[in-house]
Formats: sequence, structure tokens, C-alpha cells
Amino acid sequence: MARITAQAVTATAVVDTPRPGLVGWFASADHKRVGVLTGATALVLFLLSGTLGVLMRLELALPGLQLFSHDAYNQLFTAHGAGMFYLVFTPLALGLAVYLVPLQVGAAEIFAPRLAQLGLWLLLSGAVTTYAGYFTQEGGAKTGWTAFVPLTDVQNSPGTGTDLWAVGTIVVNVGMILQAFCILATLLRLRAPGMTMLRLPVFSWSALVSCLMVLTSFPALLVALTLLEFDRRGWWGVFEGGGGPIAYQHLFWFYGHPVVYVVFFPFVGAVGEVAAVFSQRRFFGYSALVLSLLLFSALSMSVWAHHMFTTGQVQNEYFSLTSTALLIPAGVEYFDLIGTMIGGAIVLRTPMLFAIGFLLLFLFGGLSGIIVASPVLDYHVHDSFFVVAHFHYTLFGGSVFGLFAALYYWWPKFTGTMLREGLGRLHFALWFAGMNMTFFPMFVLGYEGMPRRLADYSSSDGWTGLNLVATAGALVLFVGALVFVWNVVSSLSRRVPAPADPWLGHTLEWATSSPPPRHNFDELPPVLSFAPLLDLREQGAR
Amino acid sequence: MRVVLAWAALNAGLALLLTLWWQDTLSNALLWSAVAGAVLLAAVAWRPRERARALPESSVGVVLLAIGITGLGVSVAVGEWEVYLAALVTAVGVATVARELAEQRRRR
Repeated sequence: MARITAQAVTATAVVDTPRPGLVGWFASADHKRVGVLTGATALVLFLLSGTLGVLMRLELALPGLQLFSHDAYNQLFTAHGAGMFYLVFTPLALGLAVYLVPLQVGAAEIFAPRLAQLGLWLLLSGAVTTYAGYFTQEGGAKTGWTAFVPLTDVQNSPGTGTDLWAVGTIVVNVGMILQAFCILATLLRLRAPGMTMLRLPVFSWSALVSCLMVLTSFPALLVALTLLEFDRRGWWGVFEGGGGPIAYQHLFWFYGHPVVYVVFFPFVGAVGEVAAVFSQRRFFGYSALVLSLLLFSALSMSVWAHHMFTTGQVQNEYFSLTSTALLIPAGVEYFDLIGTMIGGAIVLRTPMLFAIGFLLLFLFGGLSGIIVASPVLDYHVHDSFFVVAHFHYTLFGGSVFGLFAALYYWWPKFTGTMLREGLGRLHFALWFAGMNMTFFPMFVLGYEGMPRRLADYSSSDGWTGLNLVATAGALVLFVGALVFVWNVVSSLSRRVPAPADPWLGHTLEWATSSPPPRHNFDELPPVLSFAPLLDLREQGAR
Repeated sequence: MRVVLAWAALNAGLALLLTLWWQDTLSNALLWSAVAGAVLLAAVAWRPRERARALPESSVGVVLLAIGITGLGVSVAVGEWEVYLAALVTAVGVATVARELAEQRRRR
């Protein structure tokens, strides 16, 4: 069958002369470099925010330790939570899509490359602004990642640290909105001939729904934080009235719940790709997955007020119904992922281990979600460590394990080198054990009434043993992270060159060199399904 | 385009259910705004397929622009003096991007 040249698809040859060295990298408008820099920035901040989490666990290992003052502890959990959501997971999810989506749809470039580059630089400068607040006289933000009013007003949180945190968060999220727009426009307008919407790879579909949610929900956060800053400057008083705190919560959670799925769906898509390739069979239930992603993302726009059940100011029945309904598309996705593996010739390489870990751990996160979606049960566990356990099983067990399935899978494409398999397996084993040691005890602690955001507790509370186990687990996670860093350094310093397609991939990014050239493809295979390379291999076998 | 409209329709169904169930102004405004945003995105996507384009290799102007925009935001926190500096960096960034785009158009 005839092959199509990339130049006929979406782009002409490169017009500029590449800049040498670091300037060439950092000023690059190439979507692959923008994607790598976005992801690398977020990974470094992941290690930083993760280390802050370990410090929190050290503080809680035993009662009365007081390694940090209460004020410093408040800053720690704010930097940890806000860092993970705003500076780590959203940029990781979108950075992965900035790199991969143009390749998966057979485009030579991302739509509006300078806009995607602007998104990266707003992330970098916004992150610096956010952290700069921690070096001010009064310290940084200490109000949690939610920055609820009136805790965040100028009387309760004086000083420029909170202002810098709010401004930095706004800047970062503007950047993320720009990148989401570029990804969505690439998916809708730059697809190669033959790449219909129902031939988009699973990861690209997950990126599409994520971008829709970013573009329609993130503006609510921008409005909330801008109005908050206006209030703090004394320019306005939107949140100062009686209904102010509830109004802020509506605006915040309208962003705050969809973002959980923004940082989850791309990794579901990645796990879907990994499950199919390492089961050596076509993805099972593709159409059902596409429908479930659309339904899941739409529903997740309508569940925000389940975070506000205990305020008594929201319509619990509606939000409980929509929240519980999320189980239907979630179940379909689970069924598809497991269906892909059943009957396959499974190859247990590191990406697949992380994908299986994702499936097992997210199950706990999803099932405990049923409990917090039910108002009567939520009243018992609200603002307790149960909630901390629930969202870490979804975000660490789900997003992080999905992320590392993706990283180990696409690393050869990103860098042209292979990661070490032995170190990858060790990393997985440490994280799987550490994750359960750290977060499972929190379900029990929360059920027994230990509140979240607690800097200390009494030995008479009876929480010491489980807290000690959780802290030991956090240290195991820390060691696992060091193993990953070692693997990355080893891979980049003693390079084992990666072939174009080391895993026998199914999608178009594996049809070009590792790493791909500036214009992505010299030629494209025909696109007859969502797995064009698998089609070619099956045709060749006949 | 159709997929974005379908997604907007799903959201509109959920928004309608919310409106019937609970007439809270802010909640309804938020969800219906999202529906309107999705329709707007579909309209933006409803254009002919892109023609062959030139690929920009790098853009220093974008870097300056991002630093300038962030500086403008930071000036809210640190004081007025920052506004002038940030506005200058933003202006230089905009001018540099405009020059890069003009040069790219000329080479096409």
C-alpha cells in the first residue's frame, strides 16, 4: 500500500536554523522538546513535592516529635498538595500529550507551537513564583492546596507569600490551558489522512477528554484565585460576605474535581496502550472505551459539590447521584483493560508491571470513592485520613503508577536509550510495597477519627502504630524514587541505543526513529485502524 | 468538531438535570458556562483542515513574553515598581514574537 510523505500531511520543512546548545533546547518550539521540558520540570518538582510528603510522614511517625513547628508543617502540606496538583500531575499529563499526540495522529507539529512553548514557560516562571513565596519573611502559603476562604484572607494569612503562591498558581494554570488548547486543536485539525476520530489511539482519546475538561473547568480556578487576590489587596470584597466562603468553594471545586480526572485519564490511556502492546493483542472494547471516556469526563464536570456535602449548603442528592454514576464508565474502562489482557501473551516488562499495579491499586481508590460519594458515609470520614488514603490510592496508585508505566514504555522514544530492566523491576517492587504500607493504614486511621492536616497527636489516641507503619512506607517510597533516579542517570550516561520500535508498538509514534526527527515522520504507514502498526504486521503475517 | 459538540450535549443534559433539581444560581451558571465553552470550542474547530505550514525551530520571544506576563502578575504582590519592568519585558517579548512570525512568513 502507498505510503504518505509527512510533508503532504501538515507541514513543510523546518524554516529556521536550529540554535545550538542549551538555548536551542530551552527556546525550542518543537513539540517534542516542549513536551520533554514540561515533563522533566514536573518530574523534578515531583521529587521535591514527594520529599516534602516524606518530611510530613516523619513528623507524624510518633506523637510529640515536633521536627517542624505547626506553622512550618502547614507550609509543608500546602507545598506538597499544591505542588503535586498544580506543578506536577497536570503538567505531566499535558506534557506527555504535547509530546505524543502529534506523533500518534501523524502530524509533523503541534497546533500553534509557540502557544505550547508559552505554556511551558508559564509553568516554569509560575512554579518559581509559587516557591518564591516560601522565602519571604512570613513564609509561604499555609492554607492547603484548596486555599479556602476565610483561611486565605489577608487577616488569617498575612504576608506576600500567599500572594505569590496565588499569582504563581494562576500563571501555571494559564500555561496549562494554552497547552491543552494546542493538544485539542492538534487532535481535531492536524490528523494525518486516514486518521479519523474513531482511529485515534487510546492515549490520544484520553488526552482529548482531558483537554476538554481543562478548557472548560480550569477557568473557574483562575476566576477564584483572581477574585481572592483582589480581596486580599482590598480592591474588592467578593468572598467577604456571608456566602463568600461557599461561593469560593463552588468555584474552586468546579476546577478541583475535574482536575483529578485531568491527571488521571491520560494515564488510563497510557495503561491501555501498554496493556495492549505487552499482551500482544489489539485493545479490547475500543468503541466502549471511547464512549466511556466521553461519559466519564462529562459526568466529572457535574460532581464538584460532593466535596461540599458537609457544608449543608448543596443539593446532596444530585451530586451523590452523578458521583455514584461515575462507577459505570469507570467499570467499562476497567473491563476493557482487563479484557485486553485476558487471552493475551503477556510480557511482564517494567511498563506492564506498573500497568498491572495501576489496575490493582486504583481498584482500592475507586471502591473507597463509593464511600465518600455517599453523603451519610462521607459525614463520618470527611476531612479525616480516610480521604487522604482514598485520593492517594487514586492519584498515587492510579496516576503515578500509570505515569511510570508510560515513562518506562515511551522512554526509548523520548531519549533514544533504554532504561535498565532490573532497576525498573526493583523500582516497581519498592513502590508497590511502599505505596500500600504508606496509604492503607490511613484508611483505618481516618475511620478511627484521625483528622487530616494534623501536625501532632497524643499517644493516648491509639494511632501511633499505624502512623509508624505509614512513615516506614514513605521511606520505602523514597528509596524507590532514588532507584528511578539512578536508572535515569544510568540510562543517559551509559547509553544503550533504542531501536525505533523496541516493544512492537501499535501506534504511529513507533513508525519513526527514536527520538523522532524535527518533522516527526519521513513517511507514514497507511492508517486503517487505531493500531496501524499492528495492522501492518498482521498483513505481513498473512 | 462533532465529538466536542457531543461532549457539550452530554454536559447540557447534566446541566438541565441540575437546573430542574436545584435552582442555585452559581452552580447552574458554572455548569452552563462549561457547556457554552465546549460549544465555542466546537465552533473554533469547525474550520477547514490545516494546509501545509512552516515549522518554527525556536522562539526566544515566547520566553520573554512568559517572563513578562509572570512579572505583571507578581507585581500585584510585590509592588508597583515591578509593573514597569514587567511591562517592558512583555513588550520586548511581543515585539520579538512579531518579528519571528514576520520572518517566518517571508521565508514560506
